[in-house]
Amino acid sequence: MAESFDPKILYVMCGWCGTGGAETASAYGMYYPENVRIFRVNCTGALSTVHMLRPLLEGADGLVISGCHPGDCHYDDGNFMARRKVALVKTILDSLGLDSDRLWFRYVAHGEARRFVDTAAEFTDHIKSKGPNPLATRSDT
Amino acid sequence: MKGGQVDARGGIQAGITSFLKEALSKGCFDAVMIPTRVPAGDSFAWILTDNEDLVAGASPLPPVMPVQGARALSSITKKGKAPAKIAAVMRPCEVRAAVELGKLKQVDLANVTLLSMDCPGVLELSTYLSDPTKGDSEFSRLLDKWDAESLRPVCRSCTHFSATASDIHLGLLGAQAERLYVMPLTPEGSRVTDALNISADQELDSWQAKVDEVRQKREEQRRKSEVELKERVEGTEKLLATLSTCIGCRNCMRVCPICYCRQCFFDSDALEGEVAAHLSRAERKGSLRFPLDTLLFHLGRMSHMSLSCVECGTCEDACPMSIPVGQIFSHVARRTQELFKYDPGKNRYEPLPLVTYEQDELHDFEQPYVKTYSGKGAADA
Amino acid sequence: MPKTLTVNRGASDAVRALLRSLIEGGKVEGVFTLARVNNKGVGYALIRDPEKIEQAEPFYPWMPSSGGKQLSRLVSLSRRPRPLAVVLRPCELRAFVELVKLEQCRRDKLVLISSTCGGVYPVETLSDGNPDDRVPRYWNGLKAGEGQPDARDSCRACKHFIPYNADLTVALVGCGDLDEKCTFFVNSEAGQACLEGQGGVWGQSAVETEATEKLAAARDAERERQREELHLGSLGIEGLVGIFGKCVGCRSCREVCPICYCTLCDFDSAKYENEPAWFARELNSRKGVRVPPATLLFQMGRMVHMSVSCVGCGMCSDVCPVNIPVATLFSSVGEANQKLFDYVPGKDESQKPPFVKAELNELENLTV
Ligand code: SF4
Ligand code: SF4
Ligand code: SF4
Ligand code: SF4
Ligand code: SF4
Ligand code: SF4
Repeated sequence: MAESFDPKILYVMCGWCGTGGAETASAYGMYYPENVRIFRVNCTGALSTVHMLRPLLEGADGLVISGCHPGDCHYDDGNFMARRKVALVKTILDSLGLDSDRLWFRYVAHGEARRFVDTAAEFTDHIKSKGPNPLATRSDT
Repeated sequence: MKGGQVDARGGIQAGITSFLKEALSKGCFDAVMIPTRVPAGDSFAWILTDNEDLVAGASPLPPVMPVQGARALSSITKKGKAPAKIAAVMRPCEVRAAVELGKLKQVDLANVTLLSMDCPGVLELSTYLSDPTKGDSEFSRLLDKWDAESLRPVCRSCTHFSATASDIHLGLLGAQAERLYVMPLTPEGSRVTDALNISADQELDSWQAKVDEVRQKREEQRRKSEVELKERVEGTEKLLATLSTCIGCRNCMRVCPICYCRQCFFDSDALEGEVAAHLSRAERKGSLRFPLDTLLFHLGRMSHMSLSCVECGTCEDACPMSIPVGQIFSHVARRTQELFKYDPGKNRYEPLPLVTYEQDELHDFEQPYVKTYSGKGAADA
Repeated sequence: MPKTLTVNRGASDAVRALLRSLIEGGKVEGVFTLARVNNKGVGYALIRDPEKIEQAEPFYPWMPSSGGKQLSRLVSLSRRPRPLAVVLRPCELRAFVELVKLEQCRRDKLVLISSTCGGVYPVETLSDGNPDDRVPRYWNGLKAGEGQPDARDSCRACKHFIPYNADLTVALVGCGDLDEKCTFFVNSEAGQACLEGQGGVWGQSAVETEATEKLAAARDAERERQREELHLGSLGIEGLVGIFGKCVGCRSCREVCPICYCTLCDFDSAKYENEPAWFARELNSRKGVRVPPATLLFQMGRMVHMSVSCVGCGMCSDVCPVNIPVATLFSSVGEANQKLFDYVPGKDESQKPPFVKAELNELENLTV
């Protein structure tokens, strides 16, 4: 299963540190799995909870969000607000017995190319080991 | 808790209305917002009135909650503070919702005196409507006995049934026959009791003891119903089975006091798409359900408002499909509120969790990165 | 008289087989029909996978939402049309046609399939016990050409149960053999094209039968009875307050109404939100004011906006949490308005809705 399953991963990153990490990675010619689709937002703080829920219900096998490290947010507190919203969404999923482990939140700094490609690879492996997201293909959602 | 007493010789409801009448005549406030029986006699509606006769004929503690009081108060004060001093006579969950709406700028509490009372719970709206006379007598029995079987499920396990963030709380529990306790909880409340010459310095031990006793029962019930609910809805299969009869009528959202948005996100163009997009969704799933996005609506609504959910059960009462929405939402709300140690409606000055943050918190939700990942996908060029 | 195709299959099976062949033959990209949800509920579905056609329940006797409204969301005006086959009940189809006329959606590339309709059960009965227990009784009623005594009020009073504007009509009312046979009535070239290559016996006959006429008469009588029961002729303000006194203002009646298509309803807009000073003025002029205010304004305003297009589908009554007979009232007012303009909503695709155009010489008896 894990071999034939090519997960759809959505990687949301902020326009400052998150994408910076990806740019640094490309400058070094580093590789990350091709099934990872990158979605740039200005700041992780600008992500709404519905932005997090919708991909998880509508086709993505996993969603990972990266923004600046605590204290580094370009807008001061966007990443702290994002952390609250991630916590909220994960708690909602958990309390209903839905899989909250398909949503990851990890800081990546501008220069952390390694950390970005590792996150993309590690998360892809993590989702591969979990298998396809059952919600993506259900017709009763 | 300290408080005083007033006379309730005509029964609890009459005791409350005569208290209000007196306060109105003494100028403690200029108008009262209170539930009253509708002309046809088959239900209750909110009125705003400065007429003592209408207050005397009102039903401060109706057997059902057709419209959540905070919604009614919002319709008066959404655009600014009340033009004159209003006393809003509400159940504890309505008071709590009003406090939340205050933080959300949908209610202006500046000129409002919140008045609550011990609440035995309410009956299911549909059951009541099918036989109002029977409902009325069942409710007077409830006011006497304070047991729970015939109440709505959320009321049965409600632990916020007594004093909350109101200015004045009326104690029914533990009071002597034909008496009510009056507890001023804020300076505004004391202003009223002072004007009415109620000395509020009596220690209300018997009230406290009764409240604790009821709360204990409710907590027990809460634990029990929690287990039952999880059994019923937890996990993808069960949750979707529960929501399989949802017709997307949005009633739950429309009657919820916290869902105040004039235009709900889930009814906005944000979720529209090309026919081709729907076809490709249908392709992936084999078949695409209409109305669209049932689960997204419920989970999304939770993510919007569960931190302020006061577990009032109005949503469940309004669901034509008897889906236990209120129970599901309050189950989730308890978890999310616990996460931020937030008790909605308790403190008017405590900020909403999603407008503030701590630097040092929620580390469990950060995915740790300890060492360079060397999984099988990590080959790099 | 239209051409007919009779196939040796029960009605639901025959329609499923047709839908399946339309997808498999590439004639349509998807079908839009009632279908099972999770084996428990039922809802509209856009089906692409031929295997999932099994779950289609085109004539399941419940209406969880107006199919016309749901379809209009799918094929709304700004979207590029794609070929789809659609199964709707007659009132849903009429609602859809009204929405086309009201420029909310387009009909292009759709094959519209409908049936003579025996009515549906109240939607809340979907969640009491096992709904499937009611289904055999429903089909027996259809065979006998009779409605169900516990069908929704609006269905028991509906006279438009023979579809207008369907490309194909499936005969159900009064068809004693509908477990074994199914007859499609061909009303258009698109309908004819759908049936090309389907096995069966071709013929020609009218959809109207003795049975449909009998049912129409029974429903006319029932409609009169319902209106008398509510004293609709002599309600007055007291009567209206009596009916809507318990309204909780949830607007669910509007939310599910196929004709009420507005993204933001006028009555939810900021202009109806009152300044606090308004309440003070009200208190000066009367003893008390109901809050939230304007319950009757909403009801009557909605009537003014849409009753001329009301198709009497009954969705509004069905979802009202306090059981107000909204549909009986709205369809009765609607019918009066429609008579005024000689208009039957959803019937004639080319006739403009009354409020879209005015005649120079009309309604003269209204001027004084
Ligand atoms: S979600 Fe339901 S229980 Fe919670 S506040 Fe809204 S109406 Fe009340
Ligand atoms: S679900 Fe969200 S957008 Fe909709 S009314 Fe509630 S809070 Fe507003
Ligand atoms: S009220 Fe009930 S049927 Fe309507 S949207 Fe809410 S859960 Fe679904
Ligand atoms: S008003 Fe009621 S009966 Fe008329 S079209 Fe709308 S939902 Fe149907
Ligand atoms: S009542 Fe009027 S404004 Fe509101 S949705 Fe219906 S047609 Fe639109
Ligand atoms: S559905 Fe019923 S209660 Fe809700 S607004 Fe309409 S008439 Fe009033």
